[in-house]
Amino acid sequence: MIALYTALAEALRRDPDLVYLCTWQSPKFVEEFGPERIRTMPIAENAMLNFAVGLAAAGLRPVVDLARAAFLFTAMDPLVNQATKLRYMTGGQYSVPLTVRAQTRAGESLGPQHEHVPYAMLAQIPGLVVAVPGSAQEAAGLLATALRHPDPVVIFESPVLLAEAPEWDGAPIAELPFGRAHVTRPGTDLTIIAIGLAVRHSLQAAALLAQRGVSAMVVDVRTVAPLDVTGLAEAAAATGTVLVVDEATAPCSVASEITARLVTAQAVAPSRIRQLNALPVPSPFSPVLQREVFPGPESIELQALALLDGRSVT
Amino acid sequence: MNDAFRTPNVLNASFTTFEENAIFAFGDFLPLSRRQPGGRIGTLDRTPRRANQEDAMTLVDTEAHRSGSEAVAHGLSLLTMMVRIRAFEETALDLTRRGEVVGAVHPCTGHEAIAAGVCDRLGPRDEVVSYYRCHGHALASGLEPAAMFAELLGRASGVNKGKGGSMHLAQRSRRFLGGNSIVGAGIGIAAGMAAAARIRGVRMAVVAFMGDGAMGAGVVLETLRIAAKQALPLLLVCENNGWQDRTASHLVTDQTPAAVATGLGVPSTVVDGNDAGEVAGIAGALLDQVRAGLGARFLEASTYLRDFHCQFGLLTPGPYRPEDEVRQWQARDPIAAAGRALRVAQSTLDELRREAREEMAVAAAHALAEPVPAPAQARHDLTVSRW
Repeated sequence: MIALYTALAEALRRDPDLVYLCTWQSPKFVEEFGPERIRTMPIAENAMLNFAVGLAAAGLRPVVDLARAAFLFTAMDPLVNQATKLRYMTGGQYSVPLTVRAQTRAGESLGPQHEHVPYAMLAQIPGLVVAVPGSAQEAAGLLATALRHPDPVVIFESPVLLAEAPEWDGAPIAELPFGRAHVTRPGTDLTIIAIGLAVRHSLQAAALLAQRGVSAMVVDVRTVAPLDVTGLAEAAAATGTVLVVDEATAPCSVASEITARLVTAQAVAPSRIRQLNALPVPSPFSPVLQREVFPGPESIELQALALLDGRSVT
Repeated sequence: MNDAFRTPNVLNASFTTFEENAIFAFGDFLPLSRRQPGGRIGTLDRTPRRANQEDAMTLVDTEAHRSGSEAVAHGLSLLTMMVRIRAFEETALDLTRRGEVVGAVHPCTGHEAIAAGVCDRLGPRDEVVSYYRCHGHALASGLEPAAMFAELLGRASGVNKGKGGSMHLAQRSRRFLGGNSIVGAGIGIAAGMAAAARIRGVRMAVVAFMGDGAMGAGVVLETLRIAAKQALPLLLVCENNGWQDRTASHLVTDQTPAAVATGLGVPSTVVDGNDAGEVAGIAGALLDQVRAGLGARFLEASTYLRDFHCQFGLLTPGPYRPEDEVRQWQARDPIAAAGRALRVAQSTLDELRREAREEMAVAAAHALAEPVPAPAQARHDLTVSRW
């Protein structure tokens, strides 16, 4: 069992109020926790997420596994209008301790409708924790935190991070705090701030840069909401040069938000910070086209070198 | 081509299933309060429903178990609740037209018998989920009129601290999750609350009110199927007034709410939604089935809005429904009907109304005198996260 499912199993054993909703259920989990708690639902995300809000309003702790983030779009009302409004709208009478898991993209060639990274859209919703772990280990740690959090959390997991996750030895999963970015790799020449799968690509880019004698720090944002502006500003100021890497398209992106916050905080000079976002097109099917659209280790390396040299790359 | 695959056979097969789950009218075999003889007028019971309700686990409590005087007292308590709901709505509309209440008010005038009848049968553990036309359900679930008015007026002492307004009245301590301004969303939430009861093994029901317009919302259709399959302790009450906002329902659907619910696997009953006694009797029987674990039930209550869909600020809608339709339903007003069925003298009915108006005037005056929230309160109640 990988770390993420270890965290889930631990929470299910500890907390009898935890209920897991999904359209497909692991037989092992159903066997251990029973079909009432490991609840098989029809392909009806709108109803499923409202259902989860009801479970939460009644005092239980639902986890909704939406499978793909793509399916979140049919369930936006329960997330935007119900789960994240109930506490406020009732003057604090109800809380909604709901965790939603949703897988983003990883170049699996599932086409324009299946591969999405919609965390910036959700970062606009007040009070919603939006976690985008940069590794399988962080996915487990952030999920463990979510499973004790009294308000809604969405975790966007890149499928490749889970697919390549090693077996976990069963040790308890350390909870990772929300709103704290993490320096994944130290460095002195520039700071690469990355989100989700882009963290892995940035680490690979940092290895390539090291071969050229460039020392790149890599920072995992971990939660895009709340955003750790203080931590990111410290990491930015440490090198004075910042590349923000985001698999989402640029307009109103988390990368744009980070850039704006770091510049207004005077953590970095405007000429010393750049963004690398996806091209503003849907995720294409052909792997060749995908490489053109999304940041990868090579494009990150290229941008980093250009930024350090003061050149522009198109 | 094999004739067995022709369409008519398929249709016949589905009709068989349909008949097995047929919509049935409880009125045929349940004695109803309106058929009880009238009598003297008992003491008016103002106690909120939840303070004096019976144990949720009592078996089917039909009107037949009541003596004549008990039935009259019960009928009078329903009548009193209806009169109070109407007085609340009339006071709320008055406050809106005076500019005291801002935003939208969806009065339930005409629907009172459904709120009074269904909530009359709530057990101590039952939960209620409502929609934007929620004032009647709130009052009948035991919320205090002064705190309700305070919410409509955006006061700090409102049930939602002034953060919800007319469409979202909620009081957790009264097990009233409250209104929802997204059509149909509350039905999915109610199903989840019902599932929670199943998971915890608590014998209770969740009652969810909806309008007939909600039957077009995908989330309701999805939830009906889930509620049927998971045998959820859920009673859905559809207030079928034949209109969705200012559009006649027959312009957008040929199917009745009960037919749709039945087709999706939730046994359905149709009731005269302007007869509080009938509503109470049937809702009580359905709630007993639901609490006993027999699965979800759907109650379609036919009714009509006396006034209109919505008062939006100072804007009162003009007539939008056929005059004769409005007139015909006026003749079936639920309060007047209850008065006739109970043989209540006009003077007594007038006295009930006067008392209710007085109660609501006092509550509204109290709410008007309450302070508005401190502006900084806008920042609170979002999340316990550092934000």
